[in-house]
Amino acid sequence: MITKFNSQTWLGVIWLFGSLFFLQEALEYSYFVDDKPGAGFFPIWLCSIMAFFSVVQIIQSFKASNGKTAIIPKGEQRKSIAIVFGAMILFILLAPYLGFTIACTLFMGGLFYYNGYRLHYSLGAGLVVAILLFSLFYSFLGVAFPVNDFGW
Amino acid sequence: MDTFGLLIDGFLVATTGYNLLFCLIGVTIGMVVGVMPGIGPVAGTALLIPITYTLEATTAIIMLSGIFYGCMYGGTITSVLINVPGESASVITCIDGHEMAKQGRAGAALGVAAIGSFIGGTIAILALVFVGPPIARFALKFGPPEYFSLMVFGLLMLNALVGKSLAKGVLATCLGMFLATVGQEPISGVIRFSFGFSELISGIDFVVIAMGLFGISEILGSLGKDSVVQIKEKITSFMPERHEIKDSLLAILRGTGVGLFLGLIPGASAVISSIISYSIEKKVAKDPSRFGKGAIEGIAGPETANNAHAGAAMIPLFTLGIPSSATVALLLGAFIMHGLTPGPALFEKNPQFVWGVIASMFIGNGILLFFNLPMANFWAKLILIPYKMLYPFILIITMIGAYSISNSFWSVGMMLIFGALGYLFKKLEIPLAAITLSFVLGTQIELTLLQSLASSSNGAMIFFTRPISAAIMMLSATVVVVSVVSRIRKAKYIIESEDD
Repeated sequence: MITKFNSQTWLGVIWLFGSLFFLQEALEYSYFVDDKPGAGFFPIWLCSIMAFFSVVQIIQSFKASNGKTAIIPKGEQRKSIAIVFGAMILFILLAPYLGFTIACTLFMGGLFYYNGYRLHYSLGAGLVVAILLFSLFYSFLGVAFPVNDFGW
Repeated sequence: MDTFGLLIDGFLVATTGYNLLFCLIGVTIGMVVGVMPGIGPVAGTALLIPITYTLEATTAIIMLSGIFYGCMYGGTITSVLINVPGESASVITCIDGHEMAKQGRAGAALGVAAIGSFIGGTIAILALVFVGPPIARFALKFGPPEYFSLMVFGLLMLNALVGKSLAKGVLATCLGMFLATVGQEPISGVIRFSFGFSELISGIDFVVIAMGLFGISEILGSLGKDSVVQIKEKITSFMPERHEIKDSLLAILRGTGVGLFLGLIPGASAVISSIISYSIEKKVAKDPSRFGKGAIEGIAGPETANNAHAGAAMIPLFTLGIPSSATVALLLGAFIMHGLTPGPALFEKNPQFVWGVIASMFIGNGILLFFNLPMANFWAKLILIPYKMLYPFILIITMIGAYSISNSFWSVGMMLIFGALGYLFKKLEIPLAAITLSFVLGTQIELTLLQSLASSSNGAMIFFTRPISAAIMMLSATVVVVSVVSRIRKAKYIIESEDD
């Protein structure tokens, strides 16, 4: 189990590595051009400050004594987060091919079904929401939507 | 033209059918967001920004600001009726509001809250009307060094006020500014940190970050916490008893002062305003023991303060282009998205926009007063909608919003990444408001810094040799010293307590 104590230290370590990585990238850009600050000036300072405070964070995490709270959710909440995230990724993968209306029906219907509603009710409600959103945003407000070959 | 003339022009803009409709839509959504626990004003505004893409700038900002101040009203109803604050600024209202409801006086609690909110909100907008133009005229004298100093001061204040750890606050602020450096550099146009992705050349869209950090992460954090809610308290008369009217009025006036003052300070959220107002009311009360048992000033003061705060927060936004909180940062982002440059020139270059939005706030406050008095029972019933039915709907709206930014799923994917990060950051107590605020200000901070240094013959001394900039830098230094000293004292106290 990841505890708060460990997670605070890891936060500092990951942030430190991230800062150093981006600092190395920032050094690729010029710090001064014709005696004026260049494209690298600001990010070099930012990454250096982040690296410094990451070390401060690591030191502080060692001093912290109350670190036993888990940050990774457990049980039902972990399952729910995984399913919701999975559903969103599936929507992203399917919508370009199936179009918004079908992908949204499956997304909404799937989540309603997971939340304990009957399958036919879930899919029906999903379809109604999909048609309503499509009509409101795409047809009425002109917001861009992913559509299939049939235009929906 | 004088202020009154401009305001009347503003009312002509705000009362066109289309703008009135979107003002109504904005405050209605604000009420819904305020009533529903689990969606705060930041998430609510972030989720709805993409809907405004196709709207005109004035209409879009009228709607978005309606959501912002509408939230403050909505949160009260659930705090009083079921002891669940719809948004964080209403937490303090639960203490005496729900006690009053249990005594069969929910109507009086809601009535005082609505009237206080209306008075606080209206006075704050009046302050914007009369204080805004002089501040904007003064700010026209500002050059890049003054703006840089002012933005640094804003971020330092935010760091001093939010979060428990200074290191995390600085890390969050730097991360926000770093994210703003992705894409084209503001002066030379050099493309930075794109790693070969063409989508990153124009930078990361702030809506993606805001919807991910606040919208998605809030939903992820609320999953699996669905509970059945019952409304037991009934609303009867909205009028307080005669002897309570004077106490309420004084509390409303004090709350207005607190909210007005704190609304101007970056980082001082509406929650702080309502908490300070509550403690002031308790201190000045003849019988403080009534607090916690249904004291009407315990509702009147804080509710007025959080609404006055929302109105006052618009003053630095409109006059200086500096947001004072995460929600206002979103409004600033929306300004930029609609091609407007917030700041002192806005009053001169876009008077129709500025005065139209200001006038719409008067109208919106009037609509909200109507929503909260005769219609309170209706809004309370919204909380009966199960969250498990609501969140799939919110998720699909966020995905539509993110997709519409670039007409591709790149933005949706980025939003999911920021959603996951936001969830973890919340658990790790990293202030998300600091990331958003510094991201929105990031490009301007870099631009003004580079411009200042390029025009200076003494390097960074330019920030200390110009009087206004030097004064702001002195203030910033004071904020840093006070913040560091108070944190060291707090740490010492904790260590000593543990030793004991």
